[in-house]
Amino acid sequence: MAITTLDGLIAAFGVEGWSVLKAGFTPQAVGSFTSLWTTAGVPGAGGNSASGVAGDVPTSATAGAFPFTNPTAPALSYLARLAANATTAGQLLVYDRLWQQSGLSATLTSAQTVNSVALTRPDALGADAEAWWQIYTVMGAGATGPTIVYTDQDGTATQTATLPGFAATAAAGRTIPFALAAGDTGVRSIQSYTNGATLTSGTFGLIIRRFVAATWVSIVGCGVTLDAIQLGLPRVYDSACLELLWMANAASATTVSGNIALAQG
Amino acid sequence: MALTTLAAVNAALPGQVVPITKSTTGGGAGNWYGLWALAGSPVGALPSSGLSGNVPTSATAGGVPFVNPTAPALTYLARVTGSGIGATSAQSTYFSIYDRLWQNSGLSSTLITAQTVNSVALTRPDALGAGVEAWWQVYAAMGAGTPTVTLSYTDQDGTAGNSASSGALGSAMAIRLAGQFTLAAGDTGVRSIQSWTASATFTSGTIGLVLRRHVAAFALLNVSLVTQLDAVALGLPRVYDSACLEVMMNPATGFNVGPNLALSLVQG
Repeated sequence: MAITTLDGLIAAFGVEGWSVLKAGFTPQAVGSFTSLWTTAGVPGAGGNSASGVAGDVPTSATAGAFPFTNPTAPALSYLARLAANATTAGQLLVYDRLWQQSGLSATLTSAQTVNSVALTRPDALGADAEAWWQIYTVMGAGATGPTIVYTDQDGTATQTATLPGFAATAAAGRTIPFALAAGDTGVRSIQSYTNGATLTSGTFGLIIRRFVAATWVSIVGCGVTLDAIQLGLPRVYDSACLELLWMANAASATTVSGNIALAQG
Repeated sequence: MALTTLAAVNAALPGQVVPITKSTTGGGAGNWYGLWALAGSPVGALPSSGLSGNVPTSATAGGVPFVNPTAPALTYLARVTGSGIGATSAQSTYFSIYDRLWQNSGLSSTLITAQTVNSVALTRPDALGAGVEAWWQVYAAMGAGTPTVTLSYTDQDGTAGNSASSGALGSAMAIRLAGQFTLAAGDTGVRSIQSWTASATFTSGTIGLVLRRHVAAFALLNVSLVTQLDAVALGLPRVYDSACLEVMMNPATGFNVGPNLALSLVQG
């Protein structure tokens, strides 16, 4: 069964909800994305991946994720409410953190093999899965962005993605999406990573995420609550590793609070 | 029976319309403030139940009074209408409605050894603690200490001995300031609290613990504008029998505001 009517939605309300509090993070630049995965608060901070180049598939049970109970089949989970307030203006985005990895060199300029382990949510195909560059500790002054070789959502291998938003000396927590090859809408797996030039120092990883929802704070103190209809009732797959990203409108210390709720039916 | 269709929700409206009006107050941006004891209506008293605390209800001074339904009917929050009192510019303030499940008093602000709490059992909707949040709450301004407070608690599954952290608290925390503890990884609720340990002295002040369950969140615009959230926007949250509804505020810096709310509680 799925929620296909307004009555079905009303009957499914109130399953699980959590407060959100991510305190005192500082985005590096206006217009940049910051992952709040390792930011202290509620939920508690997650750790940067240490699973090696092939990576791992985090879940709702992974530290840093919103823990939730999967519904009893055939019921499904949906995001039914997203509320946010913040001390600076910006956009709060919810992603399912599908895959994460570690162990790439910041200085090698030859291709580094990744061969990511298979995705699992909702399957291994990678439709609408996005590839991101994630900074774990501040990077050096390298001036050229990296590329990845990946297999797309249709199974086409050796596609190349670039990082047009690359920034030298990127700060810890900053995250930047890769631009896929023309026509591609998802990433099934990543085969290799290549620095465009030495980044001189720093640690980073690759993340594959799927977008779930976003809300915004236009004016400090003017939080916004989006309901199930405004959100488009996005599906939250069983064991999804829900993660928060912040798109900054100010490069200053920021605290985000809010609430997130699921409906299951 | 429960309200499971739009028609049933519409038929149940307006339900019991209960007002909440609090006087103007301000605070630091990004911080939560509990308005429990702030002047207005209703006004709560400072907890005096000791370390093991008590379970306030809708009949407790400070709780929003409402009449429980006749079983098997249930109560839901179906509409919030409100505006900000005292707003002087085109800003707004963020509010949350919580069910105040448990509160205590008697914590020393200077002890840095574990203080036994052993909270009395929760009652709404049961004693299990699913979805229950643990908060610290300042009742009289704290001194210059900046401790981290660690709670030993039992989680929603009955696992005892878990630790929750406040993070490093600020110096001279103001009256009404409140903060949520970060639970152990994977935990989704607090069944009971066994102890409180501050890593350093606060030097002075009055602080307590509160267990809360989130009901709703919304922003109120300035005094000339009215905000209204309907049942779908709110997610038709359940309000358990005898729930002790209270208001929390998360203001913008330098912006003083008080909520002027009308909650529509529907039953069916």
